[in-house]
Amino acid sequence: MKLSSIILKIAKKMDGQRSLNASLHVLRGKRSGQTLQDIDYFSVKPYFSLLPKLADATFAEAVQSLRHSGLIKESEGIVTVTEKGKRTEEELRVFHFDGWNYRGREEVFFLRLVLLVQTLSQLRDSQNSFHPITNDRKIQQFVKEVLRSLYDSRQNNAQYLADELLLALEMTGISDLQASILCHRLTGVNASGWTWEQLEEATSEPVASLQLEYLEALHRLIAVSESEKLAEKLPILHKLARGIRIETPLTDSTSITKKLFDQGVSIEEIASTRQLKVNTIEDHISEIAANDRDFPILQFVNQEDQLAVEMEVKNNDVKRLRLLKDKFPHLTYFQIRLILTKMKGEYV
Amino acid sequence: MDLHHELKVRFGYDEFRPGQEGVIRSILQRNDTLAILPTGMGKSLCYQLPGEMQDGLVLIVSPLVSLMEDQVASIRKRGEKQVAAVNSFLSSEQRKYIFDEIHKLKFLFISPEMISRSDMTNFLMRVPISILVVDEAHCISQWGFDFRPDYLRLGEFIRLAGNPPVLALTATADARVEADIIHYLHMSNPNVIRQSLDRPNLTYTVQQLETEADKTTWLKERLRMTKGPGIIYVASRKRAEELTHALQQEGIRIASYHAGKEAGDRNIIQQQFLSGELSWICATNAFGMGVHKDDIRQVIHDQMPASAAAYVQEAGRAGRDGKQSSAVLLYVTDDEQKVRFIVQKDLPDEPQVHHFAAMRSSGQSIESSAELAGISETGSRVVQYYLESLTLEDVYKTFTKLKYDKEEKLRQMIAYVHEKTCLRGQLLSYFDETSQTKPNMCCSVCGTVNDEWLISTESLGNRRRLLQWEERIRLLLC
Repeated sequence: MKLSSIILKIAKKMDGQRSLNASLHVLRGKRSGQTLQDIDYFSVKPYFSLLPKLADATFAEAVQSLRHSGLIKESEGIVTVTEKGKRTEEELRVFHFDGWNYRGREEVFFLRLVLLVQTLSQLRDSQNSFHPITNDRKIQQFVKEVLRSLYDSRQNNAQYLADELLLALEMTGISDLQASILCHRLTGVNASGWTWEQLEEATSEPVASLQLEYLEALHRLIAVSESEKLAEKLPILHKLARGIRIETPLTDSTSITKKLFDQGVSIEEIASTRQLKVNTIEDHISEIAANDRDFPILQFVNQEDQLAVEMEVKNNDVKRLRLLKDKFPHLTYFQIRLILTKMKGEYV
Repeated sequence: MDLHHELKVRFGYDEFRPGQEGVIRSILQRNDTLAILPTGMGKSLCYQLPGEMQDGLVLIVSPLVSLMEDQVASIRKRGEKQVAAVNSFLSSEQRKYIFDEIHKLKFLFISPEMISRSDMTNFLMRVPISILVVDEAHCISQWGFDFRPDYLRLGEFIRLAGNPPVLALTATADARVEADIIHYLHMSNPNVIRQSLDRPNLTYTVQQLETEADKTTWLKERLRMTKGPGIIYVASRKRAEELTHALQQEGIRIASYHAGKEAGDRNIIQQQFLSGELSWICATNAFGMGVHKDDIRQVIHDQMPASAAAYVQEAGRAGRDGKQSSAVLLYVTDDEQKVRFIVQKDLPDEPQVHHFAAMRSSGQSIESSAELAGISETGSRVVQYYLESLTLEDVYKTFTKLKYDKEEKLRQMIAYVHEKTCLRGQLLSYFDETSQTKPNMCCSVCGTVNDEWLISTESLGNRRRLLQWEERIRLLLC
């Protein structure tokens, strides 16, 4: 799986409306009001925060290859997908990431799984003392709890976990290669996990591509594991997936702002109490609006302006902030963003 | 008191390793004790056993978080669960949990930065401490190769805590470092127990070559013909990657290890090395501390380390099981300049110190001042410490002295590679020791190196094959 394919998918969703940086911010999971609103507006939440450490150079290289193959074009900082690009995008398979709901927590799930597999593998071999694959105390304590709960009910848990993994991986719908990558990152007696370089050598796929395959596979494995419907069939994996999904849709800082906002504190007052810039608080408010159907938008924009902007968007298919700002100079960017957020769901 | 009985019952060992018993007896009599024991000789038993035999908390000051975690893990592994570690990476919630449980704890590891914080000092002063252990105690000396200014504040803590018995542990300390440790830790009439650094089962070799490329060629040949497990120490991440790649092409089961690798991969590589799936590790000096593998047969240095102390420590990771092992140092003429550059780079010069001081007084944080002045992280801590206690003039002087000292240390290594007398004797002389034994296979200068025992009989690794995922799951769990 190529990074450029993912970028093409995102570019297609934002076609003609956003710059390349907008895609980069989505992939890195930037917590700005603009990005949080974009992911909602253009339905790219699954790609949010997939690659928090994505380097500028890596991104630029992937973009360059898209441009070079004539799949995207850029003018005045705005990306459009060419006809060829659209055809290519349609031929790509559907990706099943769930970046928004896990946001890096998938690694916690996987570490729990790795440590549990290692522990059961060692115990099965009657080795009660071994060097754990992770020194993270939180993970160790969590796995210990899980083990304790397992041994209360039954023996031979290694076999049970093997059965669950076989069943769960089958149900995820991931490819054989993906399942194989996941399983080779696991460690057991005389079968340590493989490094990314070793996997690259064995599969002849570049590390970056393997890591994307792994990430998608992991998201799908967690989805199966956390499903309440399957909890009876996958009791151990269900336990491991506890608390992985991000339950509050808001970022931590935004939650604090929301509390104050709900008490009727003004944006300026919130900014000065929290010693943050007004801009930042406005970003928080946009995020709150994007997650709240009943957001009281009239506190910020009057009905008339709201309708005018909506008309402009619907009739001329303009979503670019700068163009809208030119058309409605008396409105702030913040106000325009709020209106666009409000429209989401009615239009598109 | 039957210490052997205690050792057997609590740890399952029949015998002490050389030096351990003397240290333990000394500390049980509540004497301040300085133990200089070579790496791998079981330093941690020296506080674990007396700690288990006495009431009170054993407080262990340890310089590296990774080392701390590793020791906690190994104590847990033997079944003692009343152990914890406090460092700046803990959340305040986790820290509070440890404090609430402190009366139940037997062993508490703590970083030197944490212990000198006033809230921490106040808290720990009220806890009965049976032994205060200072691990890697050479870090207290600016003459040591790993000076940590935070260690200098330990003396104050010891006084405030009512002078509990202090056990200072280190693998290497010459006379100057020894004096510093005793002085700064306020040790009174300490028992100094020094175990010889001599490792009779190690064979020392210096291999002079013409060019850098020759090193790679030599290593290819060497690893094809001789056996592991082994470590190759290199000077940079880049070299680690390149060399690993070249050796993999020869069919050698080797992986690189350095701080730039993903954490998951680092753990996997350690695991593979421990289990024997990998024969070789090509590493920067980030690898080694806390790796417990007794059957390492070879340690090869692609580049000389900055001091004899560092060399003895790294080479000493070979042959901890007491069996014949080999330590090789590769050398080309350019190496001196390269190592000198690396060594001196860490020490800030006058303009840098000046800039740093100016930034600090204009209210910048230590981190950003260091960045703006182009000083490394370690360097900045040292500068900061001296700026607090010395005038700017004296700070310059101190750094000039340190530079001179580092150069002197490097000269030991340069002398070592050109040595015309016994290499073992030479290494020992740096630590004011003379060799007591004359092993059959001593060193390349004595001309007694015989590599026949090292000849490998294993076939080189084939390309690893990926299993079907179902098969892999069964291999792991069924």
